[in-house]
Amino acid sequence: MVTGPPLLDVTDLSVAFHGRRGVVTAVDGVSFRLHEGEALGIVGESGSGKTVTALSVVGLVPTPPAVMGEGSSIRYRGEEMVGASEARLRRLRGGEVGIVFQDPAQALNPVRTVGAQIVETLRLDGPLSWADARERASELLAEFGIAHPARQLDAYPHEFSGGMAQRAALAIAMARNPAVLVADEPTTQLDPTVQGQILRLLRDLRERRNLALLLVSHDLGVVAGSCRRVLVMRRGQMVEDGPVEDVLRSPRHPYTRELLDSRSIALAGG
Amino acid sequence: METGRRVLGALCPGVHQILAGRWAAGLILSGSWVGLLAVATTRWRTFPAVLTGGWDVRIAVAVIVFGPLAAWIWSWRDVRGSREHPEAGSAGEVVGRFVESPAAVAGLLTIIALVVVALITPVLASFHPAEQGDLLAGRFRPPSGTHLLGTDRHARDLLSRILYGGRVSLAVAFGAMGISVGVGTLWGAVAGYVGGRVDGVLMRIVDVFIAFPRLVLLIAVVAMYEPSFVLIVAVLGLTQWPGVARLVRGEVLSLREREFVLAARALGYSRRRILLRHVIPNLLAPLTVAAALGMGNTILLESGLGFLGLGLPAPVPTWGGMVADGRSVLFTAWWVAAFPGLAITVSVVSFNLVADGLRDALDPRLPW
Repeated sequence: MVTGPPLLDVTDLSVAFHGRRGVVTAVDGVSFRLHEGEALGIVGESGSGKTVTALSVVGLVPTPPAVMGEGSSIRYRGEEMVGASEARLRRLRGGEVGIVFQDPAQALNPVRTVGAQIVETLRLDGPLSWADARERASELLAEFGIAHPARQLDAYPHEFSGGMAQRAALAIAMARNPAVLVADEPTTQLDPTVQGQILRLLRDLRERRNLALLLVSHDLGVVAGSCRRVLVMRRGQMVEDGPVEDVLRSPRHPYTRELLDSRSIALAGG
Repeated sequence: METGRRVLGALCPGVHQILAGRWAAGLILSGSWVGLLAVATTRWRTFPAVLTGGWDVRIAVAVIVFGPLAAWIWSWRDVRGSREHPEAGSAGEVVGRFVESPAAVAGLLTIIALVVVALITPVLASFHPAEQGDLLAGRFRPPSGTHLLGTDRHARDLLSRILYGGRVSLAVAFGAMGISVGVGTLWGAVAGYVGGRVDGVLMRIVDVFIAFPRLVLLIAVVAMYEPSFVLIVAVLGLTQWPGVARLVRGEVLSLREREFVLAARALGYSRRRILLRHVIPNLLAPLTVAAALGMGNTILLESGLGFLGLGLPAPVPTWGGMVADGRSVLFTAWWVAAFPGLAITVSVVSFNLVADGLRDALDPRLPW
């Protein structure tokens, strides 16, 4: 499965925030590769730097206050993205790498209809007639499992449930058919049944579109169910990296064991 | 009972809505229907002027003819359609909260009436605003049948002058608000969104404008140049915008941290697109309130300029100028100053009431 050059090649990524009270290193020497159709999980507690890693991939970490460490490299299809122009990064975002965020209710513009937001994204790739754009938007919503897609185009985000909103956010992120999808805690705000549905949707998507998925989560269970490989982060550093089964069966780092224990306690308690 | 009410509602707009407890919509519908029909029946003789008159007459007749028709169609569709319960956060809910305040609804009704009257003034007014009556016997006549609000020192009909003056005041206020909201929104949005040094420079300019006494600036500009409609609108609009800019900047500062802006950036949208199509549309609520408050303010300022003799020049009637005219005869012919003064008060209060009601209904956090 891991063949050819990687889509995304991150080496020695370091991000530090220069604040009033000194320098905080959020990410410290993280390296990973993501190939076509592959799913990689990044797991860690809050504050471990996993979200900053995810945002760095598309250049969405604000610099300043953040500063990329020397030697940090993020390559998309071999092209260096650290220090790339804003125009290049804009083409990368959405068109080549899509992102979905944690809170679907917050990620959609509250005063514009879902359809308008999809159509606007579709039109970034070139002129599209109103009827064609609506047709494609409605197909997209249907593909992402929203019932009565044509009618829901005119709905506002607040009329959607959390699961529906996350489906719509996914549809918008995937509208321009990016090769990589970065999902930052995509299921954390959703209740368990909907969580399962969204994860299944991501898996289908990966198979259907040969999508590379970078799944960021604090929940080892979520990652274990969706990814082959997992990267465990703590305090900005990678403490473990390998196939999910190995990491689950024989964690090398005590922190991973702690994460696993907390999970089994949660399972036993829940 | 229910069917009878619906039939009655379909025939006479507003009846169904009032009986259903939605008296704000009902009053607007029945008021415009009855009022415009009354105007049509009493003043239909002036309608042929459509063929010879200017655009203002054509618009006036169009409003009188199509206004009741529109009210009737709206009411008919309303009676036929079933009403859904307004959803949380929707426009219906905002309307619901707005009509809970009788003062706000009264203000809104007055504003609608003012605007409609301003539109149909060419048909409604019995006299031309500059038309002088009998200069020997017709000066300072108290209110009577022919001159409902009396006459002034040039034997001109006060009611007609107030009606035409209202057109001027409203047009100036709408124009100035358009300019100040447009300029202020762009200015504040750019300052807040771009941030950093740009923000600093833009907001210091705003500070300078706000620190300068507005009336003094107005008087200076109007004294330097010949007062004209365009000049007054421009000057009022260009002195109002810094307040809007400040309000908008504050809102944008919090909006740009919202996740949907990050999501928009993650989709590869340009900064300009995010600002114009994602951030600014979210400012609708505070801007509506600011505009309504600003309308009242602008009418007051425009009247103040007129009172000081710095408004539009003589033949054009302005409320402020009429109050100034009546000042010297306040004890012998009170109506000359009182009625235009009342017009100013009523319109300013109405706009402020609507602004208050909107603020409560939309709940934006405003600095004033």
